[in-house]
Amino acid sequence: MNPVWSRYLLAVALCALMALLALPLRDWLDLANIVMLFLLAVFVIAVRLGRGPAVLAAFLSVIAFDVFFVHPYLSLGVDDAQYLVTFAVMLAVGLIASHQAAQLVARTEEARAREHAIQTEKLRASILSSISHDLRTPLTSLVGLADSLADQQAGLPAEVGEKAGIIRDQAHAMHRMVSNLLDMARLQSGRVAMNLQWQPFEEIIGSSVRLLGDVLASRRLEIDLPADLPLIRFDAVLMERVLCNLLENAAKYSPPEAAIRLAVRTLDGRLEVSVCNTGSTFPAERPEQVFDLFARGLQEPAVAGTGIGLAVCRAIIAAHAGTIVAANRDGQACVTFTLPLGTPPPVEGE
Amino acid sequence: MSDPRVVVVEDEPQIRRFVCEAVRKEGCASVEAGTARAGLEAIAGGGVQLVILDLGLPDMNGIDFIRELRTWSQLPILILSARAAEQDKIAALDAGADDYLTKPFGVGELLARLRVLLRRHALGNEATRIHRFDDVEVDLVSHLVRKAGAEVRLTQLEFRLLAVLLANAGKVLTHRHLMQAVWGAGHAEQEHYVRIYVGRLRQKLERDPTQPGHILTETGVGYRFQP
Repeated sequence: MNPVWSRYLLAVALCALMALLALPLRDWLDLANIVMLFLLAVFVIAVRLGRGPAVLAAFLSVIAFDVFFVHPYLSLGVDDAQYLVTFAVMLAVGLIASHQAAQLVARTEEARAREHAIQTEKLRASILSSISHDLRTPLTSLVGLADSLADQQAGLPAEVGEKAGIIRDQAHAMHRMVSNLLDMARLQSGRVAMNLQWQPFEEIIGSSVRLLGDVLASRRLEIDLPADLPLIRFDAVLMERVLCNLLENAAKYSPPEAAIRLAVRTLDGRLEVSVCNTGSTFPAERPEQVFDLFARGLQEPAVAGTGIGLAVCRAIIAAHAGTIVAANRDGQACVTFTLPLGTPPPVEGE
Repeated sequence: MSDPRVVVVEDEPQIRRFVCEAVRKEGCASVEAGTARAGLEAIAGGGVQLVILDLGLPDMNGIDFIRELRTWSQLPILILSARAAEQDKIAALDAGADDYLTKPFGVGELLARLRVLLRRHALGNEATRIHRFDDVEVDLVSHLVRKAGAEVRLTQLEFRLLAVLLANAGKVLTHRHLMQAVWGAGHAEQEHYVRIYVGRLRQKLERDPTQPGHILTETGVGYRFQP
C-alpha cells in the first residue's frame, strides 16, 4: 500500500478509535475533557504521522465531536450556539499543534542529516589526509635513496648515477601528480578553507620556480613583470600550484630549446597572468577542452598528466572568482588567467 | 673536538636510513630513533648538536615533542613533514622548531639546511656584526649596507627586517613573528606590510628579485634567510 495513503488511513482510524473510546464516557465527562482527548489524538498523529494526516485529524475530530458529543446527537446541527466557539478553538488548536509538532519533527530530522553529513565530511577529510601521508612516505624514500645512490656512484658504472637521477625526477613528477589529485579531491568536496591574503604576486613566481627545480633548470624562462603591481588577494599555496602546473606543462610540451614566457599585467580591473611556450600548440579547434580532460574522463590525453593539472588550475582560479583560458597565439601555446584586483589595504609610509 | 652528533627521530626505516647516511656523509655522527621516547632519551644523553624530527610519530604528536624538548633544550630542530597543511608547519615553528622540509625532499636540500643550522648552533648566541651574502655586506651596528661596494639606502623598518632575517639565518620566520619583531605587537592584522617590505629588500639586495637566492619565501608560512 502507498505509505502516504496508509498514514492518512491510520489518522482516520485513530480519530474513529478515539470517538469510540470516548463515547461511553460522554455522560460522565465534561465536554471540555472530551475535547482534550481529541486534541491529544491530533497531537499524537502530528508527531508520528506528519502534518497532512494531522490536519485531516483536526477536521475529523471537530466533526466527530459535533456529531457524537454535542446535542443533538448524530447531526451536524447544534442546540447551543456557543459550541461553535468550541469547534473553532478546537480546530485552531488542532491545526497549530499539528503544524508545530510536524515542524519539530522536520527540524530534528534535519539536524540528524546535518550531523550525518558532518561525520561523512570528517571521514572524507581524514581519508584524504591519510592517503596524502601514505603516498608521500614511499615517495620520500624513493627520492632520498635515489639521491644517495647517485652520490655514491664511485666504483659504479656512470649510467647508474644517471638512472638514479631519472628515478628521483620521476618520483618528484609522481609527487606533483599526487598533490594535484589530492587538491582536486579537496576542491571538489568544497572543503578547502582558502587562506586569502593581500600579497605581491611576484612572490609566488620565485617560489614556484624554486619548487620546480630541475624541471626548469635547463630552460630559458622569460619573466615580464611590471614593477608597480598592486597587492592581490589570493591563497598563496593554491596559486603556487596553478603557476607550477602551468610552468611544468609549458616545459613538458615544448622542445628543450624553446623559451617559456611568463607575463603579468593589469587590465580592466583585473590582474592578467599568461604562461606561453613556443614549439607546441593546443588542439586547433576548442583549445578550452584541455581543461576538461580530467573532469570528463572520456578522452585519453595524448601525453600523460595533462588533464589533471589544468583541471586543478581551473578549479583554483574559479575559487578566486577569476577566469582561465587556453589559446594559441602567434604559434605559441598560451594559458591566460585573470584575478580580480579589488581594493588593497592601505600601506602607510615611514 | 668529536664529530657533531645529529639525532634522527623518524619512524619510517627507509627514510631514517637515507637521512642518517646523508648526515654521516656530512661528517656528523648520526643517532637513530624510531620513536619520540627513544629520541628524547638520545638527546638527553648529551653531546647532541641537532635534532631532525618527523612530525608524524606513532607514540607522540610532533608538536608536543617540540614543546617538551624546548622546556629543557635549545638545540636546533629541523622538521620533516609529510603533511602539506601550512597550519601544521606554523604550529611546529611556533612551538620552537627552526626549519622544516616537506616530504619528499632531496639529499642536497637536506644537507644545505643541516649545514646552516649546525653553523648557527656552533656560533651559539654570539652576535655577528658583519654579514655577507653575494656581493652584499651588512654592518648591523653602523646600519651600513653595501652592494658591490656601493652604499644601499634602507629605511629604518627595512633595515630592522633585514637584521632580524640575518640574525636568524636558516630559520623559518612566520609572517606573524616578523610582524611582531619589526613592527611590534598590535599589528597582527597588517601582515601585508611584511610582504611589501620583503619585496623592497629583494629589489634592493637580490640579484634577481623575481627569483631570490637568499631572502626566500616559504609559501603560506613566512620567510627564511639562506646565507
